[in-house]
Amino acid sequence: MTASTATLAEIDTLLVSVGGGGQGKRWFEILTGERFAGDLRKQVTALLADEDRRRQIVDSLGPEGQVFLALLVEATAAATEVVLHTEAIKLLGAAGANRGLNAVISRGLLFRPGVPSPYQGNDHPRMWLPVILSRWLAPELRGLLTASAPVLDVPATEPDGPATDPSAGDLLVLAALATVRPRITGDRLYKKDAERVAAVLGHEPSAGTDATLTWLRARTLVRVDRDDTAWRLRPRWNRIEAWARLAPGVRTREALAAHRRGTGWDRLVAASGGFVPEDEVERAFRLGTPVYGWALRGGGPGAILQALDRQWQERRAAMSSWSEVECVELGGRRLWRLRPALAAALLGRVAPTAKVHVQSNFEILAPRETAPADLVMLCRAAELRRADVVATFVLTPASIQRAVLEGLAVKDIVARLSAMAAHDLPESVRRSAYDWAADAGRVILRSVVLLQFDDAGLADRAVPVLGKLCERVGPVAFAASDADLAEVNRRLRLAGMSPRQTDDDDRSHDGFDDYDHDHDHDDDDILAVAASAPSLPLASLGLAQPPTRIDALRRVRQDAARAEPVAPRLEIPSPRRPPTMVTHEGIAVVIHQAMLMDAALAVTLAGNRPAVQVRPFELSGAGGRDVHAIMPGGQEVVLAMAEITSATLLPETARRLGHNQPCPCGSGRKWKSCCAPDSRLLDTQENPAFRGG
Amino acid sequence: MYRPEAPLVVQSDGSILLETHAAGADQARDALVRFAELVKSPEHVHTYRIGSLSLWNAAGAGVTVDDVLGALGRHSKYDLPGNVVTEIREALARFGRLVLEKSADGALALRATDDETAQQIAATRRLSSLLGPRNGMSFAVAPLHRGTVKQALVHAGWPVDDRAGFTEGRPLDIRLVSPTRAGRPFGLRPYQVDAVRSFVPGGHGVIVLPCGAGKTVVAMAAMAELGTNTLILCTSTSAVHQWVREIRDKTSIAPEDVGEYTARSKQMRPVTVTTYPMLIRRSTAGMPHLSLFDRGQWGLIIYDEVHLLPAPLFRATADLQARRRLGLTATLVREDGKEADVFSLIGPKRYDVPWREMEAAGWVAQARCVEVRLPMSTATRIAAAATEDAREDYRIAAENPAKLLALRNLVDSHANDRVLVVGQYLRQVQQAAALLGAPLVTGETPDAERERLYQAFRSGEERVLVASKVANFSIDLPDANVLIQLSGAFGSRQEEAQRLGRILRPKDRPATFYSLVSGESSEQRFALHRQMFLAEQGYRYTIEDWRDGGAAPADAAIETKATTVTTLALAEGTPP
Repeated sequence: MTASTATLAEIDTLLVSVGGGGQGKRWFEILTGERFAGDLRKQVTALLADEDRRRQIVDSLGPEGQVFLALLVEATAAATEVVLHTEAIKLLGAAGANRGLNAVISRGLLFRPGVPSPYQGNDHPRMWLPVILSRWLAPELRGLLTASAPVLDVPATEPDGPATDPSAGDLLVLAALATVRPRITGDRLYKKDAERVAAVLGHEPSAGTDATLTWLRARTLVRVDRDDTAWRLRPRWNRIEAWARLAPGVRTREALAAHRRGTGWDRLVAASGGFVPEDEVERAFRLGTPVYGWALRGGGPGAILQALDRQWQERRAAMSSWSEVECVELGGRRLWRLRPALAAALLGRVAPTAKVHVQSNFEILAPRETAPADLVMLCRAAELRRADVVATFVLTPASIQRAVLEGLAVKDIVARLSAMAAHDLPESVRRSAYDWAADAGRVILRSVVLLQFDDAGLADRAVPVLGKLCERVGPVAFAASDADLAEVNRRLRLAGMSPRQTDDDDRSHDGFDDYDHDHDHDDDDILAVAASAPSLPLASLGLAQPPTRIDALRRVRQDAARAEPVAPRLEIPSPRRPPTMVTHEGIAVVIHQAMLMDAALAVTLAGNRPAVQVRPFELSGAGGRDVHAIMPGGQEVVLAMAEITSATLLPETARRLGHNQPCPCGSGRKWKSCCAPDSRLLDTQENPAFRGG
Repeated sequence: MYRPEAPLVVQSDGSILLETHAAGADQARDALVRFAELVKSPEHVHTYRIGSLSLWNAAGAGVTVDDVLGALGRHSKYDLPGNVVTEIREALARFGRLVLEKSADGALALRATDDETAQQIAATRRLSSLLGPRNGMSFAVAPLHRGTVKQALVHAGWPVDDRAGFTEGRPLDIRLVSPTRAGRPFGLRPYQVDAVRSFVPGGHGVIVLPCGAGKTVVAMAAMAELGTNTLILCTSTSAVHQWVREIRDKTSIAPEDVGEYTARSKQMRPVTVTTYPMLIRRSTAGMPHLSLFDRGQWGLIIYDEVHLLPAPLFRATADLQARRRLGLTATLVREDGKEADVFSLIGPKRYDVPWREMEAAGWVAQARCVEVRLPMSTATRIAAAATEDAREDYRIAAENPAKLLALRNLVDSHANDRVLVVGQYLRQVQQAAALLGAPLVTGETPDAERERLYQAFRSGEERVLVASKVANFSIDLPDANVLIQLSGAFGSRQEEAQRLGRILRPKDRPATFYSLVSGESSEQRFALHRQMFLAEQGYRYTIEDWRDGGAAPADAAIETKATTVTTLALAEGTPP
């Protein structure tokens, strides 16, 4: 390569060319080569600043190329050097390299060089890969990379930055693996191993395997075969045998201590599984945390203290998400400790099998060697009173009830307690556990909507309307579940009792909004049809004793064949009036907009032409919505709109539809350009058919 | 170091867990009791606690740092926590550095063994008003302040080796006699001998023995050992009578040399028995009867049920440091949490045997504890729920009429036993007495009548006796072997312990303790709290649902029956 600057086209070609697999070496050359300097960087920046061009490039690149590009863009956007590796820094030899490195590290782009790594001495380009991908990286690519690239999983808030050392979490898994399979000879693990690991890690047995698998995948320790039966350890961990040997031994402890040195971690390790008060962890953290140059430059001791404070806060927040440690609150103090499985593995106790003591004063004493899964169960079902080498739990009504409400069955709790106890469970403990559990959840706090009626008469009328949706809780009050609010509201409106909500209840607003949104209409769309002519075969619709789902149309058709033609009189109440319940032969029918079509259809099928001209239109099955009608007694009739192949639409409906609204036929077109009738027909004031009597 | 088979776990707060089923648990316990306090002893793991007080007591008995650490190390599962080792060393190092001595001319002096200690004492503000000026390594102490100084020093973290000795009371010739004057064979049991031996050299302290283990006998043995005028304080007039009766029966002392100092008769005899309420009874001139302490030349003062020592007597007790003091109790628990005050004033615990072991050895009766769960009728339940007063809620549940039905069933099922029925509420015990046709003892019952009823019960003339909460303390009912507790005082743990103690005296028949509790009520919660204490003493409760004639009674049936019973009871019984 020449020492001069490369042309834009050259870079373009280069960038595209790196899209091929295994071209990493060439990226490295680009970045470390002399050509990538001065003007070239500017050119690249300019090139990448053009979004369309960038998209084009990205699209043409393979995944690894995209990653590289992402890195490049991040670096150029920050106008700093790209520093990828100690060797790279040397090669670049540019002033400000450290600054660039820090910038990249602080943005979470790179792990920190100089830490012994499995890849030490290997300039493999994948050293660069642990990046937070650029924001414009294609989401699917990001997903792909997150799932498959050996991105080191280290909390971004760790002050010592990502490291190539195994995280303590990885060690936990390895220790667990070593515990369940002391001699892993191959790299294949099986589901039963997952189950055992789950047990050691204290996952719940039921969800344990999946949770563990997910977790292991997230930790990028394993790749799961396509048929999901075996995991293959990623090459990075292909020394699992070594770890398996190491896990209970001294080197793991050293590795852990080295990894977390100065972060309070060694304090937890030193406690060998015992609980350590948080202030001690904090002290160890502060003593061991190196003071970074930026803090020194930033203004002396005050700044350092502030920085340490901040770092400790971050550390503490991060620690609560670490799966290798756990925190308990005890009497207002926070205590930390290694997870028992990890501690057990570190301390050379492979099989934590100690039994717990359950005593009739409701105390449960769990020694340090208690199986972690048991400890987890105890934490869920009992109160931790004291955490020392022996953890003291107390069963209380509250703890049992909490566990039961969280979904643990009391008989399972008792069975687990019996299994883990060194002696028989005291009768009073067993009995009390059942007693307490029996009270759990007997009171349910529910958010309900209270419907308050003006008078008992009105409330009486609402009974059939509301049906089983609501429970009457007083002469003028009903209670409905929050979830049913929309339906309650709908029914009340249909029944002509448009409810108003009080201002103090935000939820009801939501409910109303949902309602409007879901149904895409407001109350003006609801019309009622009053059919005063006895021959109108509404009764023959079977509405007097409606089945749960009537095949209304079929019957209408049958009835229509027999019915005598009678001129129907459709009475359309003023659309300004709320829809009221209208009666026909003692049957109240409240008709929804969609039902209106049905009613008109019924009239049509009965051989009675409506006095107005209607245009039939198709309702596709997919676009149609079921029609609900509420009958006296609260029964609900559902008419399957899917069965409606053609229908007529009364002009009054049309009038209430906005011209620009979507057509109700479901075509997706606007109403005015789809099914809207001739506008002249919409003027009901001039059309004598609508005056009626 | 991890030895799974070892019985002890030493925790960093100074608590020690003893696995009773582990091999070597007995040796570990024997080593432990010398320097640690037993906190609780449920069935599997007993808890002891090491504290400054317990270590100082041990040091006073000659236990060294090496003894303590050696014993702990030998029996511990894990390494000893570093802080505990340090605390043990420091606490023991402080012992013996302050000595309270009496000089030749009779003046009291607090002497420090080294200059540093003397300086620290001189610098302690709360002591400055109590101590005289520093003189070399010594401080003068007014005899009046002997107790207060010791109390203040203990609070400041300094144990005092009290070598000032005691005021000798007037000598009294008193010996135990066997057989007793009533003609029964009598002798000290081994543990009673041990208890007396552990008390006498120190001259002050507390002996913890279960109810029924013969604390009275231990006290009499101590009196015989010391041979001096004795003042005995107990909780009630009934207890006074019992003491007087026992002393006259089992010692060589002339009956007229034993006197009772009560509201009824104020006798001053070489052995005088009185009550706490008597001593703190107020008149316009303060507490006139407190002067009893200064009269009579007592060489020994015995505090019966010392955990009930009323707070007003703390001060008087502090002033009595020159007298030998013996506290007797079955329980170290005080509901007001002032155990430390009581025991620093009376003296260290000298002797303690867990109840369960006494029971296993056959010295106290094996007891079966049963909680009988009773349903509440709907009406009762609603009444309980309707009240907003928690006490009233508890009371309604505690007075559940169904209890009377269950009571009758239980009494019937123990046809050949001596049954004692106790209750918290007067109306309830009245109903119970009327229902059972049994005599009733309440606070209203005149002492003479009480004595008569007790005698009748003791002699077997009456098989069943009903008592209100006056039965809690020190009425001696040696033949009761079944106790039915109708209701208890909220969560009072020592009350339940005391009641259980009523039936723990060994006898031929198995002892049974029934506690009637309304299910699903606030009473059940309180009952749980009370039983916790007994569970920690090693007793297991069984819970039984009460079934009326085999089947769980229906609500309405209880209601009707309970109403009938109550009506009957009230009609037949003594009017309230």
